[in-house]
Amino acid sequence: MNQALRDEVRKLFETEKVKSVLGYRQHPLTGEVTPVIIKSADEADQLIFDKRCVYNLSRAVLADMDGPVGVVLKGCDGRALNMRITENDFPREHVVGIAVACQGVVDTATDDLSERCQRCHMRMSPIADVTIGDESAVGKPTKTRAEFVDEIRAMNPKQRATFWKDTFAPCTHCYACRQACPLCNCKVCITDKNNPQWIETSPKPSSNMMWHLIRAFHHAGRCVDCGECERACPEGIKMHLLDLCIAEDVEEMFGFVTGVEDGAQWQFLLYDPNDPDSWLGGPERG
Amino acid sequence: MSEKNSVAIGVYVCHCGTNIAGTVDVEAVAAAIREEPGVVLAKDYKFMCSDPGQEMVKKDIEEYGLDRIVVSACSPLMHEKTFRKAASEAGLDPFLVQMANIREHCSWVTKDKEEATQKSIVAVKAAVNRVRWARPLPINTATVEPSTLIVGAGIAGIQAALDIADAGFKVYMVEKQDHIGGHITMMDRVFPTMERVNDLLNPKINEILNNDKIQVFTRHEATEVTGSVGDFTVKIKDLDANGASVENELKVGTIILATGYDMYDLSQIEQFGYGRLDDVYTGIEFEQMTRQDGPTGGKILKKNGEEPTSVAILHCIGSRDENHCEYCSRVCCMYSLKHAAIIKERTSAASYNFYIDIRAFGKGHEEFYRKVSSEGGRFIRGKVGQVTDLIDPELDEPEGSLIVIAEDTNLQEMIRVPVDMVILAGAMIPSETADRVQKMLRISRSTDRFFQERHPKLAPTETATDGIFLCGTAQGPKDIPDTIAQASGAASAALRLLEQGVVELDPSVAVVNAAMCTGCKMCIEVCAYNAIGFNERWNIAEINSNLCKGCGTCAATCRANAIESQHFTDKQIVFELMGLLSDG
Repeated sequence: MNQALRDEVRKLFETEKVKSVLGYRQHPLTGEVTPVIIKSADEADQLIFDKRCVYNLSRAVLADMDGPVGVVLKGCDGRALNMRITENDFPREHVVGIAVACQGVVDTATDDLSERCQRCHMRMSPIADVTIGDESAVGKPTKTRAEFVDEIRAMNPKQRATFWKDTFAPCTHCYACRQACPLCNCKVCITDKNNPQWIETSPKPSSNMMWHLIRAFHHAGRCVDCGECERACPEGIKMHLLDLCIAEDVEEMFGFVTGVEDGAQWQFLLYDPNDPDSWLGGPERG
Repeated sequence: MSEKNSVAIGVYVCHCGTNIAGTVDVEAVAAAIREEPGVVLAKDYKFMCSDPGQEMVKKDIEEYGLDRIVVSACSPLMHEKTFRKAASEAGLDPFLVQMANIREHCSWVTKDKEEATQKSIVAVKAAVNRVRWARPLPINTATVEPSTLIVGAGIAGIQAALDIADAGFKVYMVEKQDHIGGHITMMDRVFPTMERVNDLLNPKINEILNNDKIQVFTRHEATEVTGSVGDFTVKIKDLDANGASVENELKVGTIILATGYDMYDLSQIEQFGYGRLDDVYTGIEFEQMTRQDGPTGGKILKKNGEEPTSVAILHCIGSRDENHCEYCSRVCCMYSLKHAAIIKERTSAASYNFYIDIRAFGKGHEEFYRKVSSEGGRFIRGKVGQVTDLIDPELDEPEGSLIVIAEDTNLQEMIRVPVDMVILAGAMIPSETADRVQKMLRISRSTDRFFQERHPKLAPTETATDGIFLCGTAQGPKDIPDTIAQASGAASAALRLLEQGVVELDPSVAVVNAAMCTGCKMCIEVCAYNAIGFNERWNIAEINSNLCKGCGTCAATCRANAIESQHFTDKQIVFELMGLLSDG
């Protein structure tokens, strides 16, 4: 895998298909796997891809980078990149997708397959200008998304309110979840605005709820289930569960899965007069 | 927060006679509000909208140096303009006036005096809070190109064109057919007067063709409309150009839509045999048959060339039918009566009208109904279930006839009527071009799919977009007199703009904060008025304030919160909410 990746990246530089590549390397001193930007074929030898490559590199692509930018992509990373293109963050030509056959990444604390990968049904990136590794060997999910959200769906509104209040209680408003999220791409985040002050800065039940609900609403129909928010959270808050609940609703009601096709559409912009409007009190339509 | 303290707000609590004062302790409201920061004075007065009331506001503005006004009285729809004007006359920007609706929202809907008073105090506090953050907004004007585009050259378009050209303005007419006149050129007579269509229409067509103010583009269609009220740019395409893109560009100040209607495809309603059985015609096909220049030279003949001995006229085919078109097509009753009259006049055939209700509400219509029915036309109250060519041998039904099966609801029994010819009074639906026109202009349509007027009672000729007007059957089924009336109405609405030459633009529009826009283009998708463009160079959305109606959809949609509606800023709304949620 690593050799194939390095060969392919070298080729991309040599044929001038890319000007820089975003990938992963093992840090020579600490041994940790970290993201890296390389700018020439000579540097390709440090690239790796394995189960420790947890970061979503689509987050790191910037419109003013020296492009085209090659990006090493897992399935979830590719879906996120796809959404960023849909949302006009940069044009499709700005990136060259280096899709790697991902068999899931680990929870670095336990070395077990991470939760997000247990339910992943799309381990190959939809953006795949080149493909590395054996696509057929990526494996199937061992869990469904429903398994994660059913418990919450079964609760009554009061229980849910308590559940989410407890879930968000440890939040310190460090906004690591926002920083890790590939689709938190507002230039100025609503939490950073103080005129009016939408979200109070001090952690307390009301402001915790406000932040996490706004975060979830901003991701409705956009979240690609890469789970980076949860991974980044120093308090171990399972805030991504709320995104999952919404993603489940969006798929159930509109049959829409975010970012799965190259050139994907955005759920909020797809208007169909036959969309069900049961929640508005209208008739359920086919 | 120096800004906040520098305002000088005057609050006026209106009694509205006893309309408000009967249920609200207006003095208590004024007293409570007097304590609010920034409030210089709070008065109650019998009728604020009266001349002395307005004079009081003007005098106070000068005397106390008020820079914000709150009038707590009736709905802003009623008197906001009144007080904006009064403030303006005293040198205060009209957007620094805020209404608090304590009549419709409080006194009229709350019985308990204490509750109503409490609620009023809260409403006025919200208004005071809101007006504190109001900013003066300059009113821009735009010049109006002295010309009109009329889409569709049917009778509606013709009337509107003549009215506008007669007032001295240039008119461009775009018509997809190769002739002007629209659907009525297929007809022979009009109800209830039975005048010949040619006698009515030909002079009008001549007027159009000989009027040098009117330029007609037949076999053309409008493909793209950009710009806004007063300054539209319209691209039109030659439909006969065989793929060669011959496009013309027109500059117009106003647009009138007169795209008309089409007939519902009756072959979709299989039980009446249209398209399957011979001698089953739609109303408009029968109309064509009755014309001198029609396929039979005006004679009423069956397909085999023989004159029918009996004709059934079936009302409400597709109309008033929840499986097809729920609405009433409004003209079918009367043209069906006309068909019966023509059949009576030109043949010896018996005619049967199968109807649900006869809707003869127009001028001279009831009299026409009476005349047709007294002259031997037969009327059977019942919607037809089926038309078939399968005759029942036991009933002695003549070979080769069409059997109309219906329930006669007056007799409460099923009947079978053998006839030689069937005329289906089909439903009217919007023109097939409506989808394209809707997309091109981004205007709304009502649930019946006809174009939607700005207000069904008060603005029936306008669309929600300034400078775009509606008339005729594009807006809904109607007969010729109604169409002409609406066309003249639309023309006069357009003329209002053309005559003035300038339009004032409401400054309460949305604006993009370029520093925060992420360029996701979502606002462009949701804008109902086509008001948002995109700056490719800076990768940001740009709002055309001439087109924007300040509806706020984009502001609510923008995830990055980069769009704000002027006069409805986040700050104004948040502070207003804080007032509403206060203890009063």
